[in-house]
Amino acid sequence: MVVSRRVLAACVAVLLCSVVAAGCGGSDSGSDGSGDSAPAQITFWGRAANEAINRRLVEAYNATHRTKVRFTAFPDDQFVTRVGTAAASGDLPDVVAVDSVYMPQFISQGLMQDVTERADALPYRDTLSRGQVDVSTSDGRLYALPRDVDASTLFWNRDLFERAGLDPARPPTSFAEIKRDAEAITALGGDTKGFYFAGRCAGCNAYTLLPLVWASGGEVLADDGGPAFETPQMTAALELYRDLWTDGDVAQSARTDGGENWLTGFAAGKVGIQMLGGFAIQQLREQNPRLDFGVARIPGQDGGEAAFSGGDVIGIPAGAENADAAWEFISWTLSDETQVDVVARAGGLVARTDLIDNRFSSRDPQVLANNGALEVGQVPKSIVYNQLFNDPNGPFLGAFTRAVFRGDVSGALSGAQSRGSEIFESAG
Amino acid sequence: MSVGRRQLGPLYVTPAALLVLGLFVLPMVLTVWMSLNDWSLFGVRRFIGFDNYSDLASDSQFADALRFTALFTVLSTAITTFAGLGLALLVRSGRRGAGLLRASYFLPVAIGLATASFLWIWMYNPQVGPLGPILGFLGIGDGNIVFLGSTSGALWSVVATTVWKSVGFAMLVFLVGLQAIPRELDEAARVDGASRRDLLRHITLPLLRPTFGLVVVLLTTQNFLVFDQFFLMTRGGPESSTVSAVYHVYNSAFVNFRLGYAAALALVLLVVLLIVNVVQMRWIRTDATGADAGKAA
Repeated sequence: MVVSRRVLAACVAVLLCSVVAAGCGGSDSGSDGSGDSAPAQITFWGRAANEAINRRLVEAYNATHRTKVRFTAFPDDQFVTRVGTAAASGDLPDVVAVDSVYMPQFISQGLMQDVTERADALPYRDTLSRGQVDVSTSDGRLYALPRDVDASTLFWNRDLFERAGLDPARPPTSFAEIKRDAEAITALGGDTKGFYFAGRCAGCNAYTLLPLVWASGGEVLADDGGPAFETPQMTAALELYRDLWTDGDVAQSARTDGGENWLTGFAAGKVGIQMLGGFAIQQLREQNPRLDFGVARIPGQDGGEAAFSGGDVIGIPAGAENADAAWEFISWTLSDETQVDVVARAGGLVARTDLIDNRFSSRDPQVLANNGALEVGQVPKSIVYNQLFNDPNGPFLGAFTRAVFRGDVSGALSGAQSRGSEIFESAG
Repeated sequence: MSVGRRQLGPLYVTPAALLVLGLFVLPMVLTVWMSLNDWSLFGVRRFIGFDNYSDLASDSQFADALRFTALFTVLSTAITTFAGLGLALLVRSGRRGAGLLRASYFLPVAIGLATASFLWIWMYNPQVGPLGPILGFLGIGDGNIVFLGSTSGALWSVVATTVWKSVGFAMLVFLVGLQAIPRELDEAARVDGASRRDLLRHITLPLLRPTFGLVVVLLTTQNFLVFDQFFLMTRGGPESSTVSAVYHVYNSAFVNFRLGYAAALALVLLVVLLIVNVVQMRWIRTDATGADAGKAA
């Protein structure tokens, strides 16, 4: 009954959206013939994963502005291809929001407009999420701003901590503590396990394991953007995962999980510790309203903390017809009102550090903690990031599988290093 | 009148010719052209002659993918062919319920490949999938099998899915082949005192030879171009050990964005498949004439 009502609600929502969209399209063509320089309509492309929040933004903008934004979402794994083919045929939109890890590649191919001067004029320029600004910067010039932000963080189940005799208010702050706490929770028995990861999901593991390396003081890329797999910090992180796996602190299903069941165990209250990110907070609450979990920063081997700044950056493609109107929309998405009244209200993380503590997040310690992790957030900057880390057949996941499930950490890393270097050279 | 008809002829052919031109010849020419260029998804394109093809020679991943695809093709084709023949012989009779069985064996053919893959992902799931417990009940394994965890496990699991998906088609083709065998032959042989097994060995199977050829060529082609199942069920894992040839083309084009190189791979794949098909056709034909020669002697 509940399910069917939810489905019904979703159908109604979709219907409403399409009616609204059709309505906007209709009014555009007729009005705005008054000689004003503002265009009637600008186009905005984003990926499906962030469709909901982007549509909310567009609706709020269209309700209060003459220029209407038309949003189109594409499936995540086709988005970059779609932009590439559009660039070749000169059909790029006025605004594009792309997964931030692709931005170095977009910039290096001259796909994006330089927005340095425009951004410098913004009053909130210095409060923008650092990791995403870094990844959108090349030779001191800025090409995009943060749109959707997320940070990977460590989640722990307070109930299980308590049952295992651990302090439910104290998350692990080193590799040794992660292992120790996970062991204590696994010892509860049954199908309760101390730890979890999705063993066949490249993106999930890059998002949550790379911060372990950074927090330990290591890097995952060389200065030129090439791979740097063979580091003591990466070795330590993979050894931690291998030990957790070998000692049975992780459910067997992790081995074949391509990300479909990434949240399942934790949501069911069967996992003690798991590295996730802000995106998981709302999903976990929906799946299990009674789950009592905490959100903390991801630790390094002996302390320290780091996060992967995930999410999208937003910019104007080179050759866009309505750059001024596009910029007006982009800067509006980052204004105080939009960040708080649209983004934070929907339970999302704000992209500005000065707004992290707002009237919505102050009532929500998990969101607040996750948003705060952006302060230590990084984005790996490489034109081959996708091939190295996100490709399910790429060197990172290959090394991860070999190291964690077969135990051969050093062989895995040297193999990944040579394959990664090949990929980097053939792209350069 | 005859002049009018002569003029009408080409007109009738035009729609089909346009279709072939637009959907086959032109894309093919474009693919050949792309394969001669350094054609990145972004940025400038540059003519590089046969460099993509020489890169291909040192691409160990492509060699691995070809080897793996060959293994998969042999396994799936052989099992599907014999299972299809067996099912056709089983459901050939007009006995009560045969129609229902025919329909149920054919049902998976009507399901999309992606849908079937997702269905089987859940069947193989170690937590909620029914297959592990069922096998455990039958005394195989401890009821908790990670089917897609190892290379051989993943290969056999996908082979099973593929056989399940296409065996109904093989059965249907064999049924048609069986129906084409004149009833008189069977009857005459039976009068001569041939047993059931004799009928199968000396009449049914030899006369099914062309049907065998058709099934094997079609299945080989289909299995050699396998992509969906591995893309969805194993993602090429574990450790890239189940990347099929077409999957490698996909990775080159849409992960590494080297469209020119991917075009070269696709063309090489086309040539390999053509050779395989030609060899198969030859083999079927010489076999058939050999059999005829034997009969004549």
